[in-house]
Amino acid sequence: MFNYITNKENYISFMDDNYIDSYYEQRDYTEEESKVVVDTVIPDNHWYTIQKVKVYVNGLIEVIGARFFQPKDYNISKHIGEFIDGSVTIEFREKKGDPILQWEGVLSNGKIINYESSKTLREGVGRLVTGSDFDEYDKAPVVNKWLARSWIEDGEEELFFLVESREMLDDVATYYSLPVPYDDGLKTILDNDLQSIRLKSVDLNHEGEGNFVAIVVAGIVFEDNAATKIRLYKTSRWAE
Amino acid sequence: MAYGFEAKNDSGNIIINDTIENLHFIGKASRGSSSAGHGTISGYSGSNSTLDGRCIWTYTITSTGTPVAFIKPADYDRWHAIIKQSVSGTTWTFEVMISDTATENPPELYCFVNADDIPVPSGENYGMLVFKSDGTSKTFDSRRQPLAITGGDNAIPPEDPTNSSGTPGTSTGHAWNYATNDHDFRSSNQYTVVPDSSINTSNTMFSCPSIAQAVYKRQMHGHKSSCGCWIWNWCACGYQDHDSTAIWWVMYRSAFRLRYDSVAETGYFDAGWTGYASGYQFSSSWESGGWFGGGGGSYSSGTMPYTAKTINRLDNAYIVADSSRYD
Repeated sequence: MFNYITNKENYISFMDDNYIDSYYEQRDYTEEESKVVVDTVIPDNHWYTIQKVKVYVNGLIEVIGARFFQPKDYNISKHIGEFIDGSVTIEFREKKGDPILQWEGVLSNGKIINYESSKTLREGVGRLVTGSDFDEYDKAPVVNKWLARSWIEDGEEELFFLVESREMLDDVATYYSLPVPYDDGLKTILDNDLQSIRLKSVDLNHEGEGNFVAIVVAGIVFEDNAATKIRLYKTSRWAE
Repeated sequence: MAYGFEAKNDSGNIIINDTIENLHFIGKASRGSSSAGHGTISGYSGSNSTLDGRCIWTYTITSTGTPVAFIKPADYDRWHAIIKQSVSGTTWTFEVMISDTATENPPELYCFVNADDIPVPSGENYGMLVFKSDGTSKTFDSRRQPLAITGGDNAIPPEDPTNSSGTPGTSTGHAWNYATNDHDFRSSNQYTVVPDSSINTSNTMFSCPSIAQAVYKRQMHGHKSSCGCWIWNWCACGYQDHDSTAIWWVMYRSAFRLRYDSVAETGYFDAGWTGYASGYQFSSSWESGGWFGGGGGSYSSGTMPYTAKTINRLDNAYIVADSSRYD
């Protein structure tokens, strides 16, 4: 899965031969039986993917990462990734402060990616009235919901928005005169099964369970106040 | 030195003598700054966010004695209460809370003190002074207007300050991140009524301590559980719990309203509540995974000053008077 992460062989992806399903037979397990498998067969040093993210720019993968867990303690998870070009790796860690996005990304070059939720996201998740929708930025008018922003000290900034259709992505790309982020395969997914690449489902419109909004995320990267690229975040899960 | 004098009314009640300290009008307190807010629950944007709102005005007056303050409403539809009285040297400061966030129509504050604490008007060397047995301290001084009480009784606000039936409580079983308040925290319908024929809504002013306080909260717990990966009907990645808590709270002070029914031709002294402060807390937890899983955090627009309950709720004596005597 990884090429540059330290101990990369310990991070097991869905389709790897030694993913967690390889330790189970095709039958129902009781909790006790599963515990025996975990305690006796599954290696302690392996981390297994729960959610995998590929970040697309200009039809190519820029970053690959995942959320990993270990069967002996479901409550501990690790969130790491690497830039495909090997320039940096990234690990997320908890950071208090923002009411919704309580994490920061630590890059291997020592820089930190900071996150701030938007007023729209705060209102949608928790009916909060704080925050801003980043009106000081050059925002594509076709976007309906700006979700968050990130920034690196003396580095790039990124405005994240809710992708509601492939056409919206196209219009955003046209607005900034940038290439669309997806390739042909992703284009098909965006057109036919957009919600399958969601980061999360959230009751963003306060319509109750069954009407949660699939949060498909893309971001506009700004460098020196100029939009330089569009990122699309594709999340995949086990058996999808 | 001689002392003593006694005057009675037609009913034989003593009005002036050498032991009863009459209050005398020292002046209207000067109105200073105001702060308005809490027309909605602070920090919250959903249903049932509306509160009655309140505006707090600060007044000051200089007096060597402790003043008794009367509120003369400019808008008799609003609720009024003196929520704080303090002194620094001889400067007395009052905070008067009025329902609604509008800063128009602030009330006037008429202040009364003992005869001994009334400054002697320059050049007025005539009239009637009544001294106590010590021959030096006064109980009455005709050079200042004595307080004429025109009515009064006891009043007590209802225990529950909120318009919704019953006090708000805690409930579980809501959807994850559910944060829709279902309790009406306004107080407009929550008051007790004391008929008082001496009250009108032209000149009547009142004095009544705001002692009762209340804090109430609505709390909702939401939950969602999801499995990261199913391996042959076994949740091999473990269940991920998504929990959320939403809390709305309002703090109240007892407040009062003077009312007049022109049909019944009688007045009323209403004892109720006005929201003084409010807050909203929200927390939502799931894994802090950056792009790879979501996030979770908490927010608070304030912390409740004490646990939910009503305190200091007692019968309060109130007195009313005619403000036009002192204009």
